[in-house]
Amino acid sequence: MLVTILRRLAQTLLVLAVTSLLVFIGIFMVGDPVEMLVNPQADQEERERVRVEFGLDQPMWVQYGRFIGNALSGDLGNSFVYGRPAVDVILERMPATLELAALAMIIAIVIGIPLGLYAGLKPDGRIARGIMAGSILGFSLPTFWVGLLLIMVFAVQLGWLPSTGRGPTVSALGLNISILHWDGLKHALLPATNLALFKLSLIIRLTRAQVRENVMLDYIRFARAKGLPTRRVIGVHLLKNIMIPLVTVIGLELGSVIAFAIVTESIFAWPGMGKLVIDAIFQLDRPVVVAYLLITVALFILINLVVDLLYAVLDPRVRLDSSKV
Amino acid sequence: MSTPLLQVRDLVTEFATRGAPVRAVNGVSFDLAEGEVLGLVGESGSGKSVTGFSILGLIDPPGRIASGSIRFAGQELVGASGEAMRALRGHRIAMIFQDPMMTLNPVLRVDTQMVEAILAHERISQAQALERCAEALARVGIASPGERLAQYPHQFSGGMRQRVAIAIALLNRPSLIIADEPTTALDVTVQGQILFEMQQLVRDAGTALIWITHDLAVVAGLAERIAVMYAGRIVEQGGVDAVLDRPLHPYTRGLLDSVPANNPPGRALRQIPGMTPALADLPAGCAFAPRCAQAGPDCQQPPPMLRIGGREVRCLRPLAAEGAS
Amino acid sequence: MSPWARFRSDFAASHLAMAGLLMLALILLLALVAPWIAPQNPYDLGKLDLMDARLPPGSASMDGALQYRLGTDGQGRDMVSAILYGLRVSLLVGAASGLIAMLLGGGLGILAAYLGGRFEQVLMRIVDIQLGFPAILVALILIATLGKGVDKVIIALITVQWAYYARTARSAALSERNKEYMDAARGLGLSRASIVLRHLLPNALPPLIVVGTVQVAHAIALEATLSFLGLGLPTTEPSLGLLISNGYEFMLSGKYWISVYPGIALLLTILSINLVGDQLRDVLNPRLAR
Repeated sequence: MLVTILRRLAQTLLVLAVTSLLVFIGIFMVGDPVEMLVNPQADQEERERVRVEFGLDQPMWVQYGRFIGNALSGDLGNSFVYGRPAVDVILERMPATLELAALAMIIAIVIGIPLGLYAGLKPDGRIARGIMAGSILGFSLPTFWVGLLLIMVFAVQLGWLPSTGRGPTVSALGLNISILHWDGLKHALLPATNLALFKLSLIIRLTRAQVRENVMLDYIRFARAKGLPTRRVIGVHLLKNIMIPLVTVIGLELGSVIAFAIVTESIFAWPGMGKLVIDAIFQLDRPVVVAYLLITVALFILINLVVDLLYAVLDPRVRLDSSKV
Repeated sequence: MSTPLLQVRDLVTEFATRGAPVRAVNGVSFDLAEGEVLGLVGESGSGKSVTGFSILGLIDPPGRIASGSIRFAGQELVGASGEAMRALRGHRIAMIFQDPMMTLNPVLRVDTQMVEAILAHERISQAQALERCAEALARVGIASPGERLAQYPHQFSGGMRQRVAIAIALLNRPSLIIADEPTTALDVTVQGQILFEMQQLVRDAGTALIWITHDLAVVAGLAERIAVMYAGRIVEQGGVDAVLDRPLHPYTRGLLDSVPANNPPGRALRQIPGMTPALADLPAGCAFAPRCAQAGPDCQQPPPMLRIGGREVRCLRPLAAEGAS
Repeated sequence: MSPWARFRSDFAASHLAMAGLLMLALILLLALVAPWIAPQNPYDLGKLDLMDARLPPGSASMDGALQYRLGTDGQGRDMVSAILYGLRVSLLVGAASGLIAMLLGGGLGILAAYLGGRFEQVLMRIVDIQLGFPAILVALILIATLGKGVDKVIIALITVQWAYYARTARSAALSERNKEYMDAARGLGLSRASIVLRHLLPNALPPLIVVGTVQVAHAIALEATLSFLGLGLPTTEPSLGLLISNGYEFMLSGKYWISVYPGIALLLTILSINLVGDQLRDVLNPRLAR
């Protein structure tokens, strides 16, 4: 187990290094690097000053070294727009994105797994076929368009839910979480549902596929041959087996949801990392873009690592490597 | 004479296909007395496993029991309610499957899988159930049962896993055990051991046993009676010694002849000419006729079951009984 | 039945898939003949009349010459024409990037399976790492560094997709490589090229096609998303995503048609591709074969 963790850690660092190199080359090499660091309104003197100050007259690898050195100490430059360290700006907005992503995943799991289970157990019924057709629709719908429709229907026409913004927050676990507050939940519901739609369809299909694959296997038959009630055969034997691939996929999809929040946050004006980075791209606030990319990459790698560990924990075949007797 | 424990009459189990349904079991009839050991012999595709599953009611769509009767201890099983069958399975009738790796659920502990088999039929405490499981494991020759119970299936060797499966089958003291090729997936040496142990256990407990296999050598030592199946029908039935020494059906003769041990060294191995027919493509009349040396034009009609002495044979031209009956 | 006939009958077993196929054919046809059937050329700024802007569906133009069946957008463009042309752009970009990605990724994957060794290891590592990142993030990084423009968008889409093709092609080719007849072919001294072309390639093709349909649908959706965010195709060649984005500001004032109709067109396109791809996967999947 330890070996696996160490190996993954090494891989993590490698990926981070490669990504930082790519980002560095992209952001700082393409075009005039000075443009990245100064306010576009700065005059020539200012630019010269910055050039010297940031060592942009130094050879490439020296610059990269400084970039990495700064990055490791948490300094990725200051945001032009906010005038504060880019890292701080990103981290400030991260909880909002994370709670949106979390709510979306919860919705997708709570609705998706039972539907997928049903569709897998009674695959030829009308309801099951309806569920599957619905799931194809679900992942064909363009997320951003659905977001617009949701706003139009629920906020404008029906007026049930607010169309934009994040609700009031409640302090919990040292963070400000809005979904624990009723009004906050109302604000989060539309964007979270929008975000959840795609994943919901995916989970339904995955669960169904897993169920169909597993019901044919011998251990299910054997469980029935023991005279176990169906409730137990499905709820314990089947579920525990399909949980393993399910959990790994869900974990990986969490990273994807966090990234895709960019779109949802833009539409619903949700003050998270995603909206920040889109604005930053348009405002040419490069340090913020760089900070976002590196932080998100690190987040994904972390999630991947956790998922790998979780897999080992859930599957006893992986966990217990003892030799047979 | 007391009523047989199990009475199967004209059982037909068919599977739906694109074309006409295929009859995996095509009119099978036999009796089984209490405590008797019956060997059900046949090649793959002969319908022997499907017969076993039919008795337990474990035929899933697209298969179904089309007609016939299965009476167990006076109770009619065909058409019985789901709950009635569930109460029987693992309790009065138990089954042992072929591949122990696939039959034990890999993500559940052995004690979980054993205790649930008891608790599905009896209301006793967890602790009492565990005790019985430990006893059962000891009885099948597994050392340190207490430790073993806390382990997972993949931590056992193949032979051990099958012993666990046997222990599970015996847990609730069933009247009938159906063993579907339980030793086929094991090493030859382990095969012998398991066979011997099964014999003992079954004799001690007075359990009736249907041993399904394709291996004639296995039945020879174990069974009291033997039924030979071909293409979904029983072609010959009788006491094991009588059938194996003086077979009446040309197919049985062919099977015995083709066993390498029965062939003199240095000569070409005898084989039954032709191939087993596909079940979807059976000839009208005797299914074995195309491969039979003594088939005649009257074999185009389905041959009736003839009774010769205490034996049965489905053939119009049974091999000369050579004075024995 | 010949394999082709059996494939046709298997595919047609799903009514939904057949409906999808029909819809897809219709969409492709419309996109193809757009320049001839569109009432108006939406790119010709000279032809647009701002007086006709934001008219609801069913209205007529100021001079009475055109019927705006689906209304007009903020610039006075006829929605029907805009959608037809937008369809062309979306499909072109999606299909082009998909095809190039398939050739590139599929080729690399097959090569990796054939050559094995370090090349295969390194390639698969890269594939794994890239597949660990969400597509939108990869696209974002590229657009942020390369800038905007049609070619950059296509490059971004190719980069996002090639890894799926590479992985699929490699595992399909791998399962073939390990079969015994490959040793026989090598034993007979067949040239490398012929081995690859005649054996590895045909086997990799079915799964690649299945992946291809899903990926093209994703590419179209991704391009639309990028365009919606303003990071995709330029306004001179509006794809459906851009049309939807243009209509965003009018949604809250009740002028829904500017965003809703292009969205429906986008949805139907993606849906039909997915319906077809889904059935293809079921039909070509040996494990589900009854």
